[in-house]
Amino acid sequence: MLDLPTINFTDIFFVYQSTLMCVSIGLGIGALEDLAVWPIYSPRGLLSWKVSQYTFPFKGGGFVYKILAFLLQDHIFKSIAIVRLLAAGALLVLSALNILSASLVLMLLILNGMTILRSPYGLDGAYQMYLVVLLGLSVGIASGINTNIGKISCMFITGELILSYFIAGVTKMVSPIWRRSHALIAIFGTKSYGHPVIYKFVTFSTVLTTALSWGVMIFEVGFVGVLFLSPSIAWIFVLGGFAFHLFNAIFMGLNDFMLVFPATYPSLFFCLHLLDSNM
Amino acid sequence: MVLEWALATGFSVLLALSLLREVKKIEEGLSRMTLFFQYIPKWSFFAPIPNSFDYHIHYRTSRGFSTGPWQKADHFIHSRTRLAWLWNPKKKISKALIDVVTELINLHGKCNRDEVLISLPYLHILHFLDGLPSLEREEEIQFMVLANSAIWDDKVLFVSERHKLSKSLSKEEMSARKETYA
Repeated sequence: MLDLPTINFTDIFFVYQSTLMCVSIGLGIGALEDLAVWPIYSPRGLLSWKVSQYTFPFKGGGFVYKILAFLLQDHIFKSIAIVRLLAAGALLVLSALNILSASLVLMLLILNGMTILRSPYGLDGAYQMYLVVLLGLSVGIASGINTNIGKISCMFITGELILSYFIAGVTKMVSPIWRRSHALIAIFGTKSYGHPVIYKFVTFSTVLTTALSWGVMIFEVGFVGVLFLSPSIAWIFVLGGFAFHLFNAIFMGLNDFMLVFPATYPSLFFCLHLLDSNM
Repeated sequence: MVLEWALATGFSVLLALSLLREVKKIEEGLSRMTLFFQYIPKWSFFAPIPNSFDYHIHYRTSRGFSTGPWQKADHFIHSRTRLAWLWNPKKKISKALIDVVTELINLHGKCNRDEVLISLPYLHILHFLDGLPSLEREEEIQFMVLANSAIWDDKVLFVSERHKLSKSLSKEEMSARKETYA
């Protein structure tokens, strides 16, 4: 069982186990959320399959088309959401019992990957990161986590994590709206992602808004610097990352980012230990 | 050993594509590989243009020579609960609307009117409104997309054509509509 006082990111089993446990919680909540808002996927919903099917990427009557068209229709797709929920629960339990199941992870990767075939709308960066993590984990576990492939898979997850922050930061820095610190006022002035308290805060003082905007951009772009730090100092970046996602979850409703991005941090620490030991 | 190199190469290609996807011309090229393209992560969140609006769908119906007032389809924007930091299913609804409307507006700016009328986002909105139970007795529908926020007043972004509701379509008209969508 997981020994909580010992957090050992040099132990690749612990890295995979902790990542699986974090991801399974997030995937379970995600599946439940999909079931809770099922009406948007229903025949009369905004994302009805009756409309989506006309832009389905597989055309014609081939075998793959027939299988996917069957799986993506309403009742089956809803059943798949239920299977995703159960599979996430099973993954959490098995991981806690020190059992890493490649087939379960692969199944979750395939089932979650089908969501974008059904409709690309309503998905976000957290969904993409789930697919990245599931891909890395399934390849690593299937090949043997103690092999070089197990390590390469952790490197892939870490690479996408660092890229995600870096690209997010750079695309903000090249934006005049972000550089002039108007972006936070614009975002928090909406009901979709905003919050009245934070809106008052960012409109109160230009200095505060500028500091917050540039703080976010510098953190995201600067996160790549974690690769040059020892694991004992890198904790500062990781805590900053967790605080950033917690803030976004509380004040923007982006709960799924808070659940999946920290799930990549064990891989990050493992890679930092690898770098540290090779120096 | 070969497998290690193959996987390392594959992962490296995915990482490179994630980075290159931010370059517009490369993204346009990748978008032709429709299925594979959808799985390459795009990490530019809220940038370069952050989401600055709340979008609203308004519709009006007509029956005979009589046209009703604009009404709001208020199914999409919800206030968040205290637990939304952990459990927030409604975000998917508002994100779906944002994505649909954003794509509709982009198409409206790039394509001709006929292409917009058979586009996926247009049809999604039309199909959704067509199914509203309160429209049983109506014959035609028209919708518009409105945007606003705490700092922006109401702004009309798009107005659709008038369409016959499917309840009032004959079988031949329904078949013709389905062929157009396909």
